[in-house]
Amino acid sequence: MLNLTGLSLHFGALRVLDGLDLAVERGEVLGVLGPNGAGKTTLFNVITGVHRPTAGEIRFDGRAIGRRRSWHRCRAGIGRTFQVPKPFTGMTVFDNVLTAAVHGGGLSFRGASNRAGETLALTGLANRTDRLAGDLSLLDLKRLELAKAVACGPQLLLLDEIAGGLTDHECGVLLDILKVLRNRDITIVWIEHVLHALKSAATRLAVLHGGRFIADGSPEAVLADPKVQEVYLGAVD
Amino acid sequence: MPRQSRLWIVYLARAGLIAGAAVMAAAPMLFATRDVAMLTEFMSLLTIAIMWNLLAGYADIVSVGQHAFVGVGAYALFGFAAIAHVDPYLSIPLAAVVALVVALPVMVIIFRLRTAYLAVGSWVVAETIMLAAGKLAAFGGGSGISLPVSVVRSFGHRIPERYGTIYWIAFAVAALALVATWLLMRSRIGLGLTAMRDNEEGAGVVGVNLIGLRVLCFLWTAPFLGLAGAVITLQKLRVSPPASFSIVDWTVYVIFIVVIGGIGSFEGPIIGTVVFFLIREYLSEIGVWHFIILGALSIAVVLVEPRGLWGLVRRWLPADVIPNSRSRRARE
Repeated sequence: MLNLTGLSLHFGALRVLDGLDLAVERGEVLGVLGPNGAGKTTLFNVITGVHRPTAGEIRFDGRAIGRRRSWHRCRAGIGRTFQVPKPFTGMTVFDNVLTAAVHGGGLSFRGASNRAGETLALTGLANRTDRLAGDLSLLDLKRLELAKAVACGPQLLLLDEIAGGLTDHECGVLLDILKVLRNRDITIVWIEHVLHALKSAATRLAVLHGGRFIADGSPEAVLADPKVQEVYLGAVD
Repeated sequence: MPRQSRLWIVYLARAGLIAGAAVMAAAPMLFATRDVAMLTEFMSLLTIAIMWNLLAGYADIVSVGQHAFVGVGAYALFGFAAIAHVDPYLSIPLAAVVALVVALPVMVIIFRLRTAYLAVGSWVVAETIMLAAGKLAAFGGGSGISLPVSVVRSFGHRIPERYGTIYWIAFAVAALALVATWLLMRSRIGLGLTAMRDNEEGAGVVGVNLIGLRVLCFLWTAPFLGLAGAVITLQKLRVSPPASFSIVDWTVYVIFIVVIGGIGSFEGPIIGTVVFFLIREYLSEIGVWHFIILGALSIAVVLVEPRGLWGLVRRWLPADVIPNSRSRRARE
């Protein structure tokens, strides 16, 4: 459903993404690994239109979207969370999610209110609806990021390190939420450093290094790949 | 919750707002002519402040050229009423239409720019329009021209009557600006604008059309500024490039008002306009010092609370005085 070919993003002489290829199939959970600075978040920024690619093509459902604005891509069905949450601090938690459902989901106020209520329940924010988003703890902000992305009604959901800093119990809750989303036929691409969380959810793993994917396949095969062990797990010789 | 227990203050403020609106609606019957003239200016500045707040506070279009549309409205009113002999009352909405038409090419120019470049660009465009207005011989060129007596008389033969009529027009314009913008903020567009105010990138990825909303806000403000310009002209009885296109009166003061009152909130421009007029009325005897106080106050406010006096008060209150959030209603 998402096809990236020869995707490059250069900031001056710095090649953050360098001729990267990737195909994401409908229904899979693709885990993305890579050392810091590998270009993971930048990859999401290019897919969602925060940055325009220097070269290469982005196809979503067969249509080229590389020149489209971020809100068009959202409405086409690409939702994302940010590693550093981007809440609408002066709005209530409910209105944050309502905005996503109205604008991203294209729903009427009534339909959007229903979806917002249901999404807040799913993400564990049901008792925070009237709080200002600016008053939330980091954990709740991460939940809000997920709720906003889900309320847009995405077909493809891009998750950027949403398990970082969670306790084992919280991580288990998160994995349950992702299971619900998968059952709704939402395809997921998940950047994560928390390996055990990623391993238990991902149907496939890909490793980004130096602006390209250096390994791609089943989680077991990728983690056993010597190239991956060298760059990502830091093994020498 | 302690904050929740202060809900009565919010209700009190709402009651005060309604009472204030009622007094304002009846002002010509209650106050002396001099005060009515001051309140007319209040309504015009309030209208302009609401619009600048919408642009700079929500859509992040920090324009310092909005006085251009006030001037265009002023000249349009003169053109229709004094030169084309259109009915003076009809000339007022026509001034709004002209301001909207002028906003289209201006938007094409300044929307190519962002942040500081946009501010400078909007200023340059406004200066250019002012200089062009000064070349219009029929409008008195660079020194301006007074409204013909026949036009002035159509708003009342005697001075108190005329001041009252013009006040009510100013009041209607401000009320229209306030109510229409409030309805805008309560719509899906308002949700998007508030999201954009808080986090532009975050708003974009949840489907908020940032460009579309900026265009809408810019085009929304122009006709209201044109109306304000028409009202100001009726009050001053003349047009001239430096007065009708005054950057100090229609942009600099307005920035002070919005910043002091609270940028990016609905209550901010109202509070700011009230504070501005209090300072002006009670401290103007001390001459230039009242401008220094105004400047110092706005700097102090920004250092303590970037969201202005309203931001300071809002921390203590459980709700907005003018609610534009849909959430409570939406869940009922």
